[in-house]
Amino acid sequence: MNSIIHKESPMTIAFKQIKDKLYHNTNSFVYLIILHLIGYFFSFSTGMGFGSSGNSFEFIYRNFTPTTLYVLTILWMIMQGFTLAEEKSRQYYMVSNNFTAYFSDIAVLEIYALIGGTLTLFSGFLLQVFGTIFMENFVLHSLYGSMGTLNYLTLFLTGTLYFLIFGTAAYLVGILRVRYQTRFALGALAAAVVIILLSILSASILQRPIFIDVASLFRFYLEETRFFIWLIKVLLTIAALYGLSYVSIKNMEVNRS
Amino acid sequence: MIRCDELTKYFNGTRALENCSFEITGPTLTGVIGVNGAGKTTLFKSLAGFLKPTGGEAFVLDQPAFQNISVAQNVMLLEEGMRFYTSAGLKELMDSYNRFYQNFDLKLALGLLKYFNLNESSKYHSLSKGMSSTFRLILALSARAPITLLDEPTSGMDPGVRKDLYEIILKDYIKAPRIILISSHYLGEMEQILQDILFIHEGKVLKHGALEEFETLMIALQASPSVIRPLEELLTVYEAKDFGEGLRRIVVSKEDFEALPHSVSLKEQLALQGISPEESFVYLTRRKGGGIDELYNS
Repeated sequence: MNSIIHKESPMTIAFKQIKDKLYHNTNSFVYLIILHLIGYFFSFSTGMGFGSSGNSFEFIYRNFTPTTLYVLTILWMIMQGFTLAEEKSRQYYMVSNNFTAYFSDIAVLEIYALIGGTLTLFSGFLLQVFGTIFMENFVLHSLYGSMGTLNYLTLFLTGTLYFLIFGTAAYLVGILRVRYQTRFALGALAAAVVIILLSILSASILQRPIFIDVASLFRFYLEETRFFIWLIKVLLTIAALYGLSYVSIKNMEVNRS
Repeated sequence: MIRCDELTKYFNGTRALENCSFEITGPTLTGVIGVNGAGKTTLFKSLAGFLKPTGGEAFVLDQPAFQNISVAQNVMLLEEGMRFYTSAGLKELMDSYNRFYQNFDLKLALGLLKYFNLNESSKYHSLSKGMSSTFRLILALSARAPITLLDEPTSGMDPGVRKDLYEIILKDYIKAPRIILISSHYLGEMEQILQDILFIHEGKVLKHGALEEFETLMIALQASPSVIRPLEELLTVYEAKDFGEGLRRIVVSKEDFEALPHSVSLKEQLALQGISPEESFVYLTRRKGGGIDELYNS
């Protein structure tokens, strides 16, 4: 037989897939930049004050928080998580199995999270640049000016890891949706009905309603002041999401229809 | 190289393949023939490792195919539903396939692209149905994978282009002999290039063998009704037709007919006519009972 049989390792294939996904998904980075520009616009609007000084107006940027940028980057990560999970059928025609697909998807999500974190890290500087270009006498909030290297590192680390959590969670949901299709929607609906019914029953029989406190879930991470405990919590969450994603994709049939 | 042992696949209780067994050990151009829903695409997807068998096993390169990366890098599956990156041009898609398939012949791919007047920078989704089929086939052949599975490779193409592409498949096979499986409903247009036929019906392999075996599968017997009628009672008749009062024609299995003890006089009264593999395939897969004639004559 003239056609040579090849045997590359799964990792070699996975690395090729990472390159291929990054190359063909450059649009994602354009979306991120657009979202950040929108974020900057809202940051300007919320924190902008003006007053008269002689014949000219003075713009002072008083209260910059990266919250808008965080939220928009999280939305972008969720979008990428779903996209990677749900638009993967093409890669199986081009040498893949579930393991290499999973590995490359997770690696790409990590790269996305790093890029998101880096852009958020530089948001203060970029904001200053934009402010200087578009406004007169632009002053960045003093809080930003007093940030040390460690603060920047914390901003970068928290941003990157939180983005990764949201991206991986979206990826997990996407994989479950692809794998179980209508059964996933029915399962989600059934779960919602069960929770509501349990809440009603609990309130009427036990006189004690069940509350699902989403805010406490966020507080679990956001109000943790001990750095290492916070890091362990976040890393364990990411590990759990990685594990669940792998279990969900393992033995999954692809391109059934 | 390829072996299916009692391969069975059900989709939510619906049978697609049932105890499908066959083996291909060396380079061949095999036609996988069957009507819609016979299980051809399911067989190909099982061999490509996309689908997990409900029962039995599909082996490629002596390994179970399902989600096997060693199998995946040596199998190229072409099918109508295959997807590509929407933002990429045809050349970029070729580059991607070139990265993954070690035997990929980029020079050949670009040559074929030029031959079929396909623009390198065109987007796949902007191509017409026939052109996208052509592009898929260019990719599949250029990949030069040891096992190449072509599921309905010429769907949506003009007859002229179809003929051209079958010729290209044959030339490519001669240049790089490997296992090529081509599925189609129409045996007639590709029987010129095939060596073997794998005939699938209702999820089962009805026959797997050389094309010549299919050429002698069935036979038409023609004579007066008084000669034909007694034979009809002894043989399974796939088609019977009267030509006026004095002539009746039946199509039967050649093997069954030859197994009957014949008198010399009977042989002299019968006119025997060969049936092409394409026609044999139509007779074997024809719906039993409730034919069109019955429907219109009721």
